[in-house]
Amino acid sequence: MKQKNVQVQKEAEIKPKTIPIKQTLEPMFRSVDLTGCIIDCNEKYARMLGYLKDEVVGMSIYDHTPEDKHDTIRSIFEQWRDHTPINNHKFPLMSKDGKVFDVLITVRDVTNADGQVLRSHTTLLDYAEVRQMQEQVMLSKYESLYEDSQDMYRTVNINGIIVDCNRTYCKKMGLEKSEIIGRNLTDHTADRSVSDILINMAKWRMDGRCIPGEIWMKPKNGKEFPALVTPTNLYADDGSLLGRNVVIQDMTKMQETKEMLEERQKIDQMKDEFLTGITHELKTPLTPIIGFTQALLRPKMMGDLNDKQANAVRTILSNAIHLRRLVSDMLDIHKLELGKMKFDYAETDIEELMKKVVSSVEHAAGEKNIAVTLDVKRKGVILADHMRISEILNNLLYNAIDFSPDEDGRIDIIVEDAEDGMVMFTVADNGVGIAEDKQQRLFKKFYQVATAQTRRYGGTGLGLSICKALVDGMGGSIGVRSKPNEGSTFYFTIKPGGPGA
Amino acid sequence: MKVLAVDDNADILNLTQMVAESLGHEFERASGGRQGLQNMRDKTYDMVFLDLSMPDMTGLEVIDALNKEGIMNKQAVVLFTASYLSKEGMESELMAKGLFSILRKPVDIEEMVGLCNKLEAEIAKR
Repeated sequence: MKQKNVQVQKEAEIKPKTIPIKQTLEPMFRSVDLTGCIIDCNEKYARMLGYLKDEVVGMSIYDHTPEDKHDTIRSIFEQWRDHTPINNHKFPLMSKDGKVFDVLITVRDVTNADGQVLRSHTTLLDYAEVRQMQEQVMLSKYESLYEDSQDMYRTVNINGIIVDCNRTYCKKMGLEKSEIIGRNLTDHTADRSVSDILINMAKWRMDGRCIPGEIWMKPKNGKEFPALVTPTNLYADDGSLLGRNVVIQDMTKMQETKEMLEERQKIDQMKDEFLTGITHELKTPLTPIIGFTQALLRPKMMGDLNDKQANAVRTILSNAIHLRRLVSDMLDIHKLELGKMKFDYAETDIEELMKKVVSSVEHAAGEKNIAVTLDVKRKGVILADHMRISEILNNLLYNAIDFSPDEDGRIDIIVEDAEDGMVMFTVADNGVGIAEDKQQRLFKKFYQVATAQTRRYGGTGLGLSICKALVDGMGGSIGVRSKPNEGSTFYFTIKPGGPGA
Repeated sequence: MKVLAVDDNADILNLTQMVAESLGHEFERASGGRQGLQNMRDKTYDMVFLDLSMPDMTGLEVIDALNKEGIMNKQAVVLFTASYLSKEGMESELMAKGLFSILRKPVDIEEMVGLCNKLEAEIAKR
């Protein structure tokens, strides 16, 4: 027994829900030959005219037309024979007992292969049925627009007395309909909006113009809420102004959203200012830290250090440089997220740029005894953002240094022509390498190959995603070829004339 | 060469001094934009390291004043900025005001040394 119940329930779930459908406006149909003789019709046509179908066949169309309209039917008939379609023409029919009623007539012709008209295909809609349908729809329209609306509706007379309202209005005001009808609309308006609404009503009574506005509503529970009020006029049969229908939309959610957005914008702005400020503040002390440690290590600048001192100073320097990278990553990713990354294109000598980049990593590479080679095959001046290119190369080079083996490390840098006139920069190392399945994820934000490696090779995990965003912004592409334990080759291309070139 | 450094940060002034003196140049300092501008009006320098962000008068205001007074070209001005995407404008716009170079903080002393040597070589050629 129980099982059967389950079965029934299942079927009910599967079966789509159906609702009853009302068939309306079934058309009448007749077919007429070139002499005006009816050669076919449907049951409804015969029934509407008070004949049997067999009686109709063989009759003339003039038999079904009131006498005073014979001229009109003749002209329609001629029109049809000239191949002119007749659409929705309002025309009277006359039944067997002489009753006249209007139909909407639509005529198409049926032709033979040579295009000769053989007979008509005529559909006729009972005009009374159409009118009846319109009235039904009107009522139903009113019901669905007014009574079932998710917005509040109220109808007031010329003095603001509420004569009707919908379900939503009752619900939002916390009142029964019987408590509402007969009250003045000011009873449902918050004090702060009463004068607004009275002025609006006074103006309306003068010129009949309906002006939408925002007011605060006062429901029974006292929790006032903002609403958008949109009135439309109601007129009496003699055309005089009777009152107004008012749609009232609850704006509480909109108001909240607006306030939330404003708040968020304020926070974003503060965050932006804070991050820009803090990175500035972090960079300022880094200048003397990096500068003086570099000075200590530079021969003949501050006197020679012994080996232990030199090692200690080198450690300070490499950490300070690391910190500098973190700070600049943070600022970059912030600008990228805000969509505020801008590029500054200027004439740039490739060789000069590359030498500067290499010299800036020489110290870090030298510390790990890594041999760095530079091969600039593509020489000359290009239009480029040299700061951004340096930044990308620095990122790739410091990564290469970080992931290079402790002995016999080697980094090869090449600049050469690529397809479509692009310039390609390549940084190849003989370090730990990256498995193929992990290569594409490298350019995603916060991604580092393994968490164990994260600890060993510190970083924000933002470097490569920043590189990708920068390269994208300059109209190029970035990629990697790598085999585990053999090394990685990172490459990127840029358009030598800037992104618009 | 005669080198002037204009910065509100004493540590950076000390660093610039050390670099300049180790390369055998004469060094002077100004701890703010106004003083730096007055120094450039009163005396002649070969090279000026100018900080962009200073409370009394920004590096940019100093540069605009130098240009207005027609004395921008008296010396080679190197601008220090904390961020190259500064709200004062893009690097190329700043360079158009007649700068010798722009250095981004945190500054690499190799870059400072490089700029000093480059200017010295240019002066020698004149």
